[in-house]
Amino acid sequence: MKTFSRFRIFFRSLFLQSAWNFERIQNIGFLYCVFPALRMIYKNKPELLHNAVKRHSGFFNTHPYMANILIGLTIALEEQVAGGDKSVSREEIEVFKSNMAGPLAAIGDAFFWATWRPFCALLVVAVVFLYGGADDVVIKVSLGVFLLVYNSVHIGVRYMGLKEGYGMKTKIVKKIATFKVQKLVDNVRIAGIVIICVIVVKYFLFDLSGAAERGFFALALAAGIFLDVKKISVTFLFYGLIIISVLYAYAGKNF
Amino acid sequence: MKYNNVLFFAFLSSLLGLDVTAVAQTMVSRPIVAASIAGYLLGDLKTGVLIGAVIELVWIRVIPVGAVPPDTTVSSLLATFWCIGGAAQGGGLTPGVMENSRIMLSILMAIPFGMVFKKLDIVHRQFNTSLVHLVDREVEKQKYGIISKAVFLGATLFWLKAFVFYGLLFYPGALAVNFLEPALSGAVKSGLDTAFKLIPAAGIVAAFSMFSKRKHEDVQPF
Repeated sequence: MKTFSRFRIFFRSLFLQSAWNFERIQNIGFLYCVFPALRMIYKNKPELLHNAVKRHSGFFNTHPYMANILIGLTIALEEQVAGGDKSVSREEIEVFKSNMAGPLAAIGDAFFWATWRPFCALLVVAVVFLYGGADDVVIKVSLGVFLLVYNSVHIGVRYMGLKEGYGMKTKIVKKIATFKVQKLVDNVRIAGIVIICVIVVKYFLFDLSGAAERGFFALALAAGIFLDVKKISVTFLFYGLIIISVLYAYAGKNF
Repeated sequence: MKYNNVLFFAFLSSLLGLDVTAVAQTMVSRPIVAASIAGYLLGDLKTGVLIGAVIELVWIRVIPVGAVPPDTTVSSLLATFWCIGGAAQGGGLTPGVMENSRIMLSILMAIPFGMVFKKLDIVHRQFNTSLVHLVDREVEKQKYGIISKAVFLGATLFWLKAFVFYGLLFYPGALAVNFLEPALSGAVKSGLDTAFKLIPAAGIVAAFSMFSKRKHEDVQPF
């Protein structure tokens, strides 16, 4: 894969979910990503191209950032098969695709959606809380840093996924198995908890004043933990706190 | 700087909304970013970032795993426009001296619309199944141009849905906030002020719960 076409496929991979559907999830997006390569591989072989396009229009569902590994791998294996290599068959490409999509989705969900994204967002939220009426420059800089830090990992994973998925072919499976994702997730989570504790302490001591406010806040925290243990939605807690606050004010009391 | 033009804002918001699912996922659609951008353009960055921070933290556990991500982006952009843009239109308030009760009112009104949008999104993604069949039919005839067209059409539909949604709701919602705010009794107003101070507790519990769990097998519904 030439660098030029790699950039082209990378650009296309940003649209993986543009035609997200309940029947085959990201299948159209996947096809859109591999199509330029397929057309090149099966140049002047319309029957084989037709066959390949049909094979790659099936169900496809993985984490959007991790999909590039499978896009690169698929292109490499298609090239290999088209080049006459008998060590891999067209059916096996399908098997690789569907067998790896699940585990890659699990890694992406656990790391990006459940850890890295909330962690980066939490950093900005912490700036807002800790600097209270932070001046506009602080807010702008922290938002800029948020997007930069988050996306340097995001874009890096997408780009390297495409490159290594193509370059390492099926060896990528072993490579991924050596990644200590859970360890990384754990470390980021602990950092997240530390930041949350700092926010609570600062808010409790400096932003709230008086026994009534602090008492109510502590009660709200306790109620929240109780509801969370009971797996009741945070939306319920949100509206509950508003209703209780308004009723409290109606009773003639105020902070 | 004030761009409280409904169409301009619906256009901008729906572009940001593409980031949720359809294009790239760079997180410019996260409440903290989207609400800040909207707040800045409306002339009140601080209120925007505050709305974004509250929604970001309280609904931090809502992650786009599985079928359809609940739309906190929609809630935060609606709340920001209603709160700041509405204040500019109402003329009674100057952005920058936003009352906490108005911020609270805008958020509590915007959350249900985020849920409505989520339902619309599910219908939309069911409709997208017809794109799959369209692609199948054309591919059968060896007409591969349909692949890029389907992707482009898919993204356009995601954009259009959001554009219409925002276009319809920005103005009436701002009017409603403007109408309700002065109509609120003193007790309700001070109740909302109290709630504004307590809501971070909900966010802290949500964030703590998210980061303290080793696995995220239970994805929080909206």
